[in-house]
Amino acid sequence: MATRDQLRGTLEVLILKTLTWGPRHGYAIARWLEETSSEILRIEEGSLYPALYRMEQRGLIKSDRRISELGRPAKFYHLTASGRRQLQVETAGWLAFAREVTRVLQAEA
Amino acid sequence: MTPDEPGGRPLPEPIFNASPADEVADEIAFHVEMRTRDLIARGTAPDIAARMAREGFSDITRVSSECRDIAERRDQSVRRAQYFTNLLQDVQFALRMLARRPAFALLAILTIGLGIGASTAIYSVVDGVMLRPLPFADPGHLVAIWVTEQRFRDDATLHTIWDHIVMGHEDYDGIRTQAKTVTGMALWGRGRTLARAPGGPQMLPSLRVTSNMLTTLGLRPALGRDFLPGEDVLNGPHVAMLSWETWQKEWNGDSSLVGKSVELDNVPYTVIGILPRGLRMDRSAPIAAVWSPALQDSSDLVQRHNRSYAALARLKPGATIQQATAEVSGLLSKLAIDSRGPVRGKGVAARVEEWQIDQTRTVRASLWILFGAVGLLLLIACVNVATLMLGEAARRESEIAARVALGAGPERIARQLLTESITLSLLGAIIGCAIAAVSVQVLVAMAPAGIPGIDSVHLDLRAVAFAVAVAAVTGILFGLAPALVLLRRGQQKAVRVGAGQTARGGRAVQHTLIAVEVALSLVLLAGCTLLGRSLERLTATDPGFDVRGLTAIQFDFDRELWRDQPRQARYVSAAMRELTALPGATAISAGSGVPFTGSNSSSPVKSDAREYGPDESGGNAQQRAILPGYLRAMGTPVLAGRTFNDGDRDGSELVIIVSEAEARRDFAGVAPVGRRLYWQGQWRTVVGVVGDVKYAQLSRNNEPMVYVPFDQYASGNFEFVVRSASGAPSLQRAIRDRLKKIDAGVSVASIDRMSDLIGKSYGEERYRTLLASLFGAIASILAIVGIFGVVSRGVARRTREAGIRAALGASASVLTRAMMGETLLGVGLGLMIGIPAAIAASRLMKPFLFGVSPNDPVALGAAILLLGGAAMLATYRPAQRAARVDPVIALRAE
Repeated sequence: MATRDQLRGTLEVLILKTLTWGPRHGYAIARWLEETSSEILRIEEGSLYPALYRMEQRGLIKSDRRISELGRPAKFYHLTASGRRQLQVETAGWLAFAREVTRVLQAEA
Repeated sequence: MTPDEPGGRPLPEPIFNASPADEVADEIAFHVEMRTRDLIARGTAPDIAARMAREGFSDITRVSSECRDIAERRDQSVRRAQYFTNLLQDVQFALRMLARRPAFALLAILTIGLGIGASTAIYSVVDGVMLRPLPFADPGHLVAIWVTEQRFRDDATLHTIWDHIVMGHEDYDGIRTQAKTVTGMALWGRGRTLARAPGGPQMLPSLRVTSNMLTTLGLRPALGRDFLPGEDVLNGPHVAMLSWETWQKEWNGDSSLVGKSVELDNVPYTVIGILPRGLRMDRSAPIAAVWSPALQDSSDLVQRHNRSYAALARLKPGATIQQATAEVSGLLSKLAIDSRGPVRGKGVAARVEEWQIDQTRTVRASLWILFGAVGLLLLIACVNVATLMLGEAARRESEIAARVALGAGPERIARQLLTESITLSLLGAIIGCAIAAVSVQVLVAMAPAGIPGIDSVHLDLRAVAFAVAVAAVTGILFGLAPALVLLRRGQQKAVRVGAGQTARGGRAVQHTLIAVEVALSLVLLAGCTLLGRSLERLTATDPGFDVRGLTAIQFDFDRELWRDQPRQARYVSAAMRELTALPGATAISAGSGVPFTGSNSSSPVKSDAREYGPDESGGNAQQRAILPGYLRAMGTPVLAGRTFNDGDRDGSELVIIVSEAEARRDFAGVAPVGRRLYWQGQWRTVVGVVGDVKYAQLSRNNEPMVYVPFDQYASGNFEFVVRSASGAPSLQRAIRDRLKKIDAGVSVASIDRMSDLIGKSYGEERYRTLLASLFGAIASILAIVGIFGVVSRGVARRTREAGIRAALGASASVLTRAMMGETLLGVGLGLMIGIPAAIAASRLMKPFLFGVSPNDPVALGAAILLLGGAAMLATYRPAQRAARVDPVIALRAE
C-alpha cells in the first residue's frame, strides 16, 4: 500500500512533468493528467489544487496571470529551476525503483 | 505568441495583489467553468454539467480553505522576503549616498566611534572596579570596621592612616562579644610566607585570618574543611588552607594534599582545606596563597600595641551603618582605657563602611571624575553628529526637494534618511566597539598597581548597547528632523528657492551647537592642562636625595632571622663586604625604610627644647636605622653637625640625627645639635641635622624623620642601596650572585632602580593625566572637526555671495573676515560659557592637584589658547579659500 506521503509525492512528480511542456493553468493540468494516465492514477481536483499551492509555496512552481481560452486572465503555473531539478531527481528515483521491483518480480526461482 | 493568445506572455503584475481568498475563489471558479464547458461540448445537459464540475472537488469549501491557508502562508514569507530585499536596497542606497560624501561619512562614523569607544571602555573600568558586587554572599551587608583617631588627623606622619587604623586582639574580643549591630566579625592581616612547595621554596603572599572568616564571607572551602573556632587561639594548632590557584600551580591540584603536612616558614603545617577558586580579600593585591589562623602568635596578645589586623563583619538585619558606627565607636572608647591606663587616644572612634566602598575609596573619586569626563565626551560626540547631520540636511535640501517633486512619498524619503542615519550609527558603532575593545585592554595594561579589581575588568556589553543607542538616537533625531521640516514646508517652495536659502534657521542651530561643543571641550581641555601642570610640578619635586644611578635592594627574611638581631647584623656586614667589591659601584649602604620601597615605621618623639603635658606622648616621627655611610650614599645633605661614623656603635653614646622638618617642629628656635631627643624610651643626643627626604609620595609634605645608628637599634628590617653607573640588568645579576651565599634565611625579594620606584609612586597621577589628556585631545579634535565642517559648508553655500562682493571690489581679507564672523561668534560664545564651567569643574579636581591651584590661570589660559587657536585655524582656512575664489567661477556655479 502506498502511503499518503507517497501518493502526494507521486502527484507532485506528475504535476512537475505536466509543466515541462510549458505554463498551464490548473484545469489544463487536471485534463492532461486525466488523459495521459489511467484510472489507477486518477487524481481528484480536491487534492490537485492544495498540491499546487503547496508546491508554489515550496518554490517548485511559480504562478502568474495570463490570458486563458476564455479570453480573460487566469492563474497559470510554470516550472522553476528548483522544480526542474526536483523532477529529474524524482524521475531517476522512480525509474531505478521500478527497474529493481521489476527485476525482483521477474526473477526465476 | 502574443499576449492575447491563451497561455501567452504573462500579464503585468497588478498594482494591488488579490487576496488569497479571491485568488483561490477565482481559480476554482475558472476550473468549474472550463469543466462545465467541456462537459457541455461532449453533450451533457448544462445544468448537470455544472453540478458534475463542482462535484469533481467533492468538498469545495474544504479544498478552498486548505488552498487559502497555504496561500496565506506563502504570501507571508513573500512579504518577509520583500521586506528584507527592500531593507537591503535601502542600505545599499544609503551606502552609495554615503560613499558619494566620503568626508562627511568618515567624520560622522569616526565621531560616533570615538564617542562610543571611549565611553564604554571607561564605563567598563568603572563597573569592574566599583559597581560590580563583590563575589560574596549578600555583599551589601559586608562592612569593614576601622579604628579612627582624631589626634592623628593633624599628625605629620599619621594623618595618612588616621581613619583606617588596624585592630588588635582586645578590640576584636571586645567588639565581637558586645556589639549588637554587627555579627560575624572577623580579622585578617597580610603577610608573606615561605612555603616549601614541591618545586622548591617560594615566598608567597599570605593571610592570617580568624577562624570565622569564610563563614562571614558566606563561602565554604572548595576541598577539605574550614578553620575551627578553637584554632585561632594562642599556640593553636598549625593548620593552613591553600588558595585554589596555588594548589593547582604548585601541587597540580593533587587532592591528597588535604591532610598532609607542608612546611611554612620552616614549621610544619597541616593543610586542612583548599580555598574557593578566585577568592581574594584584597582586590588590589595578588591572591593570598596561604591562609593560616590569626591570634596564634604571642605577639598578638602580649604586646597590646601590636595591632595589625583589618576587620570585617556583617551588618545585622535592620541595623544601619550609622547605628553600627555609633555602637562600635562607644565600645572602642571603652576599650581605649584599661586597668593599666590609656592604650589609645581620647578621640578614638570607629569607621564602619560597606566593604566594597571601603576597598575602592582611594580610587572612587578619580574614577567618578573620569566617568564625568566620559559623559562629556559622549555629549560632545553627539553634538558633533548633530552638527554634521544638520549640515548634511541643509546641503541636501535641493536633492530632497527634487525627489519630492518627482513623486517620492514622504514616508519613502523619511525611511531612506532614517536608513542612512542608522547605517551611519551602525558603522560608527562597529568602529566604536573595536575602539572600546582595544581601549579596555590598554587601560588595564597601563593601569598602575593597586587599583582593586582592575584585572577582572572586561568590556561591558550593556555599556556598549547604551552608547550605541545614544549615538543612534542622536543620529536619527538630527538626521530626520530637518528632513521632516523640509517635507512639511512643501516641495514647490523648496525647489524654487534652491539650496542654501531655507537653511538660515538651521545655521543658527548649528552655531549654537558649535558654542555648546566648544564650551564642553574647554571644560575637558582645562581639566587636562591642569592635571598636566600638576604632574609636571610633581615630577620636578626634589625627593631630598640623589636619584641618579641609585638602586634599592629589598629582602625577604624568614621568621627566625627577623628576631635574631646578631644574625641580621652579621648578614648586613657580610653583604656590605660583598657589594663593595661590585665593579662600578660608587656608594653602598643599608638602612631601614629606604625611600619608595614601601617600608617605613614611626613612633612618638619628645625634645628637651619643649615642655610636654603629663599625658602628652609627643608628635610622631618617621624612624630609620642606618649604617654610617647611608646619608652620604643617598646624597642627603647634612645641614648641621655630623653624620654617623664607626664610633656610633652598640654601647657607645646613644645618638640620633634629625631631619629639617623634625628640627623645625620639636626644636623651634634652637640649634638641635647637642640637644636631646626622647625616642623609644631613651634619651639620645642629636648629633646632626639633615635635609628632608620624601619616602612614599613626592606629593606629600615633608615629615619629621629621625635617624639612629643601625648598631644601636634593632629595627627588624633593612634595605640596601647601591649607586652605580652601570646598566641595571647586569648590575642586578651581579648583586643577586654576590648575595646568594651569605645566609639561607635571607633572599633578595627585588632589585629596583630608584627612578623606577619613584615613577611607580606617582603611577596613578601619571595614569590619570594620561587619560585626561586623551579625553582633552579627543574632545578638542571633535570640536575642531565640527567647526571645520560647519564653516566649510557655510562657505560653500556663500560662494556666490563672495563672488558678487569680490566683483564689487571687496578685498580678500574683508571677505575672509565676513566668512569667519558668524562661526567665530559661536566659538566666542562657547568660550564664554566654557570658562566659568571649566573653573567650576576644576574645583572637583582639587584633591588630585599638586602645586597648582584649581584656578590656575596658566592652565586655563593654555586650554583657551589651544582650543581658540585651533578653532580660528579651522575657520580661517575654508573662509580664505572662499574669499580667493574667482568671481566669474563663483557666479557661474549657481
